[in-house]
Amino acid sequence: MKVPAPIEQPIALRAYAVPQTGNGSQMTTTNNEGSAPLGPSDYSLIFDTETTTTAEQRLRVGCYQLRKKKELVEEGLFFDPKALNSKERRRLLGYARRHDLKLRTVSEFIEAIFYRQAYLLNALIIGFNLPFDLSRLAIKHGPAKGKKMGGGFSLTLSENWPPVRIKHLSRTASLIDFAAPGGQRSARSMRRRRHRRPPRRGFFSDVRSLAAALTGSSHSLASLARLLGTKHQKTEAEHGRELTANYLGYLRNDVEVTFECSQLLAARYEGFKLAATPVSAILSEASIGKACLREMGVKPWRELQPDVPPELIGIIMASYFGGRSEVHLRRVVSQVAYCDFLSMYPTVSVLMGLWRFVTATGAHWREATAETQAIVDNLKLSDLARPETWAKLAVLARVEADADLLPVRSAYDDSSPAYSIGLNYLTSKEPLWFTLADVFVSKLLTGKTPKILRALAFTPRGQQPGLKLIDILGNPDYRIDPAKDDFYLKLIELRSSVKQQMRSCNNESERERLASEQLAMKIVANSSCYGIFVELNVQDYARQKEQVYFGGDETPRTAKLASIEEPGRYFHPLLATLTTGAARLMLGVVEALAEQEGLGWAFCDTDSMALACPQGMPEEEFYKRTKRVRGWFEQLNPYTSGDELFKLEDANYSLDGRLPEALYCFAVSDKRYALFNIGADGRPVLRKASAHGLGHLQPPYPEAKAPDRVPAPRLALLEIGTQRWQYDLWYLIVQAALAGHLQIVELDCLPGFDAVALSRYAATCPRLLHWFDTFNKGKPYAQQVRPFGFLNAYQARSAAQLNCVELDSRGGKHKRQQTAQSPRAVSPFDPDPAVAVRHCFDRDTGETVTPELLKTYLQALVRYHLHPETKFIGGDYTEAGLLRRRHIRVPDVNGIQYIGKEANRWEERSLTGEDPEAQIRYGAAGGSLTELQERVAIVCRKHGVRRVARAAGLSHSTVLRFLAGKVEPGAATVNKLRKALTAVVIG
Amino acid sequence: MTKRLLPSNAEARAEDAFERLGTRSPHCSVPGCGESDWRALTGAYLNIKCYEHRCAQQGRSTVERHHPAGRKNNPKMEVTMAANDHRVMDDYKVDWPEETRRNPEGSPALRAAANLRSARDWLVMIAERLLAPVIAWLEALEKCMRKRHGPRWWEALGLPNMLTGRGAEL
Ligand SMILES: [Zn+2]
Repeated sequence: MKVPAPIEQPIALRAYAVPQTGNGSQMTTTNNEGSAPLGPSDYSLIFDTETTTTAEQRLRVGCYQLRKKKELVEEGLFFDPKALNSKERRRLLGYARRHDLKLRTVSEFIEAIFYRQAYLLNALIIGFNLPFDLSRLAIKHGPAKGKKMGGGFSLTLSENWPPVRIKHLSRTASLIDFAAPGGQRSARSMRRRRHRRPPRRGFFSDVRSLAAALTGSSHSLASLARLLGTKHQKTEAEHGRELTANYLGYLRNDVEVTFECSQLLAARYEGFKLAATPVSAILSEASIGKACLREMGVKPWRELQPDVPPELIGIIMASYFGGRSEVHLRRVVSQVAYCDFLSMYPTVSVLMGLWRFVTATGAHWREATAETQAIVDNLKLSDLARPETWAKLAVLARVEADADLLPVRSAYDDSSPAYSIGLNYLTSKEPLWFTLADVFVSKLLTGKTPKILRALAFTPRGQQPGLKLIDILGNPDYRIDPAKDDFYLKLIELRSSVKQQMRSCNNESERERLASEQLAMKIVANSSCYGIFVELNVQDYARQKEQVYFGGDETPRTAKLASIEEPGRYFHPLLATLTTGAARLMLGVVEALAEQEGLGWAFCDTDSMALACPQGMPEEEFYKRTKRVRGWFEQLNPYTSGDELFKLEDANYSLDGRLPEALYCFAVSDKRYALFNIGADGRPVLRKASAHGLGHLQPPYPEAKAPDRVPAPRLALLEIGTQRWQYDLWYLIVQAALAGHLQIVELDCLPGFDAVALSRYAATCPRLLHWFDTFNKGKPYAQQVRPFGFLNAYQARSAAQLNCVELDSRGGKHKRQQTAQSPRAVSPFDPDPAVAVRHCFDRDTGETVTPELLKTYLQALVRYHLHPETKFIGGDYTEAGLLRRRHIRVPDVNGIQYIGKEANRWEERSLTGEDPEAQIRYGAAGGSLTELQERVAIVCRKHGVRRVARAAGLSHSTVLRFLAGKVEPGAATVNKLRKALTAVVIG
Repeated sequence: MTKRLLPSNAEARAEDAFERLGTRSPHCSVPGCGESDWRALTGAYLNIKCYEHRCAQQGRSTVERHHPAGRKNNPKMEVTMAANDHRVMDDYKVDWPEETRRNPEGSPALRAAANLRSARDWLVMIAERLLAPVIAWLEALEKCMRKRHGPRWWEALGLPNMLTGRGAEL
């Protein structure tokens, strides 16, 4: 392989910000050993609200059920008297009488039911998308405070009772609790309070979060009810019209459906038998993983080994990269064999023996430079066929990168600050840390041995005491002993055996039971490895705070930031970096094997790779060779179940039978691809397509209005992975590609594509809501855009397009033209996009934005199929074919940006109006001596030269001479100074 | 919809106690005690004790003076009672109307009402704390005996059916 000439470009590494609370010390105090947490009482309150469809989405009417266990205690309706006319109120009263429902005003509901019942009784408060409904009840709001809820909202529902606090975590999860009762007299008397105990936080269960955690996908109430087969199904109603009995029936039914869904999901969760974690604590899949570890008595690493130096965690974080996802054959139709690894992350964890780390009292580390260099020197592909090689992968290596093939995180796209990771040639004067697995990939694919300056090998310390047996799903046949078994290995084998039983089972209900068992096992396996070990929760503070952070060079730096990354309970980034590193090695091996076999590849994504058939190779030969590639991995297969490790995906087989059928791929860029068969009529049959880059847009038309030109999907949209309009778009792209015109895709036939492209999002944090300050000014609270209300966002045309418009329509000068910046357009909610767009304004300036400045669906998507793949060479808009790897040279000055958790789907999020500042940027570092000099100077200014000198064990004058640049210090001095900085800054 | 009453304040107080005790099924940790009424329990999870055992531990008396109708209403009516029962009676009184409990003007009607309330509370306490467990125990006994000795187990064991008098002459 020819290495291209290097281009200078800064790279980004993850940093470790030292938690404000110290290393785990505060965790031990809150973890009251042995006590089962007090879950909610037998009571539950299920409620739902209906609102106006105007910008403020103000509450009109709501419905609730108060239940004890499953029995209904009271069912009723509540309403905002000011939001209903007298005719509507009469109808409401009549409806309540006829159906024997209690009727309350919203403030009565809040006082008598929400607080006097639900709050005082510790009821489980249930809803679908609770943040929205809770915020509809509020009479005012402010920013939430405190470590846990900082960055969220505090909603006051009543002046007499503690506010409800909500912090948005993800699209499907929020933290919700009650604030501590205020300092003033609260309605509850504080009598007989002898013991100081934590304030009541309440229990909230958002059915939407629970569904996402237990089904692995995000749902609407309707789709969830269908999936779970609830007795009542969601009905449709037109919102925003005059209140009718029908509409009230719809609302009442919604509450019943929500209740039934929550019951069925709770029963599913019950099946996990994780008694120590109440269902209200399940916010996401990760909650289940954490609950499993807790159930087995596994203690967190930070608690067991609080004295791990932050410099080391900095090294670990700097070596951390996520899963590898790349396109290799861009915008060409190629025949592929689409293969994926059996449970990739659990599998590599098994091969590396990471479970022993999870259950150990900590990790040992030692210098292993020479031996590691020797291993890499002698590494051959065949070594990786032996499990022993994988068992020795718990090594991080500091590499002097010189055109070595390594994961490189950089802002490749000039037009966007988003980072992406590509396997590229890297040259850097500053040595950088990688997992040994990454070093192996470089060696395998280039044949050149990277130069290792230092290597650290990790081994587990002794086993934790107090590990407990776990019966997976409460079944004693599925018992795992965390002290003796490899949890991940056992779990994957159990799942395989359940799947085998399922396949041979003739009884419908039994098969269904087995299907849900195997799904639960999959959730347990995936959620208990990898993700929870690199869990970092971002907390926002009102003011910027000085934070100490570490990169890969053991030097403490400080940054002033208003967002802080707080490690999660089972934070153990070594396991995370080793896991993703080994997964990248698996893909690297596939690449090497493919090359050996003379095969190409079209794209890869974390645990899968589409091997491509080279031009002219007969199909039979192609399959034979891919089979050899797959077969190679059987040497590593740790499972006894007989399942293949690297297997052909279902998409490689015909729709009806189990016969192989030629599968084709058309890939545009990272995570944007479609897999399809070609029918007898020459038309594509889509098997899989990605919604990447489309998911943020509201559907331009409903499924029923799909154009005739596109044949209906041959398998369920859920399996293809898209909505109908996204499927139609991909169909047209693939069809054009097959017809040979790659550049032009006729999207005009898609209905609604001439309308302004619309995204919908909710005002989930104070920063987002601030854009509506001007809109809200002077309005009474009930008429303002409030927390969690829905908003619309639009894409403005690019500056060039804009200038055209300006000249055409006005010809005059315009502010925006001078700044050449597109407006960031948002509007208050309106169900009718045509109405909403009329109220569109620039969220930065508050100025009105006219619809002609906004992109239509057609304009927003016209180049979707040309989307550049910027991390490689040859991926520009008009380019197609084989992509080549870039060669990145890290600049000497400020070449390394230290960042926090990578903002997901940055591009989409920026379009939907979310804050690009969400990406935590700690700062830059060059790693040169000058930089150390600057660092020392800053610390000396703050703490005094004497203190730094004393901490370093150097003389006062040595430090002064170093600062003045008068001496070239030796490695020992540099080391002493670096260590001293840590000591002074932290201590 | 069935007309059920909303949960009482006592349930909210119980919830408060469960939080204080750290469990929803609290009981005195002294072997053989068996006190499980949240009103009579102190301490926190894994070290819960009833008032009487707490008092005993601290060298205080396990019986206390109680004014059934309240000090204000009837200062002369005073009984001694086990400390645990006292806690329970005091908690019942929280549900009395404020007026009746305090009776600031010394109204004879409220005083009479207070006397009657205290008598009723007394009966409730006897029913809940003395009778209820015995009833539950008897019903459990029936099940157990039936299983071992058949549906007419008392005949099988040669015991008199004392409640109907039949077989009393045996
Ligand atoms: Zn006791």
